[in-house]
Amino acid sequence: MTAINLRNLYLISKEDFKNLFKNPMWLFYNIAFPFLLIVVLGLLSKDSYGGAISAFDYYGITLMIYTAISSGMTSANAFMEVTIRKPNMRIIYAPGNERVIYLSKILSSFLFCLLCHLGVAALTFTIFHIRVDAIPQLLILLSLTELFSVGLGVMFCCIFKTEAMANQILSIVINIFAILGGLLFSMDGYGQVVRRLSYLSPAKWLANTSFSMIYDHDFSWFYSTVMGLILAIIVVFIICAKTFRKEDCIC
Amino acid sequence: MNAIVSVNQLKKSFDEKQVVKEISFAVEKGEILCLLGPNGAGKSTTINMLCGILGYDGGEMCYRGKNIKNCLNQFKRNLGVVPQDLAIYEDLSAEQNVRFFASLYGLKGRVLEEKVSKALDFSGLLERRKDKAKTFSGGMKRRLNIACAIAHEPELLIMDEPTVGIDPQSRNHILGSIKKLSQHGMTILYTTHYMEEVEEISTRILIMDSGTIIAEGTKESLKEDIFDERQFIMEIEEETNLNVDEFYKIEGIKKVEKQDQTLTITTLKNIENLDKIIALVITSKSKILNLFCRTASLENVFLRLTGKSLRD
Repeated sequence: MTAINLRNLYLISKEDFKNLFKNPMWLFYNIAFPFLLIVVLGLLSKDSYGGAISAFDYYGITLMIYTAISSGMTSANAFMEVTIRKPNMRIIYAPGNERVIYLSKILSSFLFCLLCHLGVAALTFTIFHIRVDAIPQLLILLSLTELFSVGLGVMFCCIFKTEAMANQILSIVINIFAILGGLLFSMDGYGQVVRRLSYLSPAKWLANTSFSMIYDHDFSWFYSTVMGLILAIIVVFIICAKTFRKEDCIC
Repeated sequence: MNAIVSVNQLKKSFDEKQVVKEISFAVEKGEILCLLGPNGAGKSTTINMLCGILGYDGGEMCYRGKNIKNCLNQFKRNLGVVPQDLAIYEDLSAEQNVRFFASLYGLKGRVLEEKVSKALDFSGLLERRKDKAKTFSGGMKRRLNIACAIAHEPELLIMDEPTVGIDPQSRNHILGSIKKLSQHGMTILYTTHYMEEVEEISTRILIMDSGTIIAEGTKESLKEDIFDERQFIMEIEEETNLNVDEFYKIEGIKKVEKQDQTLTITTLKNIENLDKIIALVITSKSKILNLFCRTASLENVFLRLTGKSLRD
């Protein structure tokens, strides 16, 4: 990357980052919504859990994973929302590589979502005394998941060309991952087949890795999950590079 | 020849449809070159290819004699674009919009602030610099769209139908601004389907239809080249009946029509016969109340070239 590309990447990301913080809908979606989801599901299920793990311990972790894999909705919006798409054209007119457009959206959405979700985690974990351990490893998992997810949102926009279509499909994919991965309710009681299928969801791997590290101090899954996420991020970035067409920024 | 940009045999297809068919033209330094044509003529596609937003299937585009592909960043640094759509952030103020887009051209610090103020002042938005773009009227947003394109003081400004859907007052402001920019030495490539805008601002015109350039020249030369006739329209007061057939004895007269008090005489343009026409009217004891000469308009030129009106 040349100096002008790096400078423009910084300038565009900064502007997008500020725009995301000015958007009440995305602030609600990334702060209030996960907080309320943890509170509501934690309270509703508190009698179903007992002993060492409370409902808040379970949903505090799984719903943070759910929130992190939902970050793609934010990046898709930051990339191709109709009011953003038009100014994107001017970025193409400016000197430098046009790829800074989607890279800046990934960067700004990643930082925005990470900050919001860290805030929610800090708040809920403190209020509801949710047990956490292996914090550096959990932060690495959260950051990589956020990066994968925002990349996925942008990738869907590059493929499907509109934010509406990208978000519709993304929302289906996220919810399949979440349900299959047992983020909303455990799938383990639905038989061997369902249990095996649940491992197709990255959410299941993330949840298992997190719980193993917190409760069993077992880090054996950590490295393979990290490697899997890095691989997935690389694949997403390659697909973005292959499918991004500046023509699609013309309104 | 002092061409800033030259386009040679440029072509573009969407699926099977060829929308730009091997067109060639040059944009000379300091001119206001108007690309005139109906909707669907291929104007915006040509502009988008020139701005680098659309790829092209064949041909070549050069900036100061060098293939644009080989000096893309240099070209972009000297290019300002006013797209047909409003390419501004609605949630940012006028000043923030201009500052952000100008900064993408490497401007910073005091120079950036000076150029932002200059562009806003030029666009008549200096007093509203702190207001968010979403609070602006359609015309003001259009002016902000222009301010964002000129803040880095480009050598070439491409404007793609910048007056679409705005009130006459804002349109006049924009057209006035374009003339001022040209006086300051900026070269302008302006696309429109409004004939009257072309008449007002152009120094040269390219007429485009169905993906090809069908005519090129100044507005005067286009009219001269395409029409060899002119019309004298006289309002007269008769004492005795004027014999219309007498006019056909005068050299160059093609057609004479009389309706009530109005006499319309179509004559060859290159023959000086007005004195004879007037003399004939006076000798027939008629009084000329009014006389004017009608030459072809660009609308007539377009109609003659394509067989259809510009807004068909």
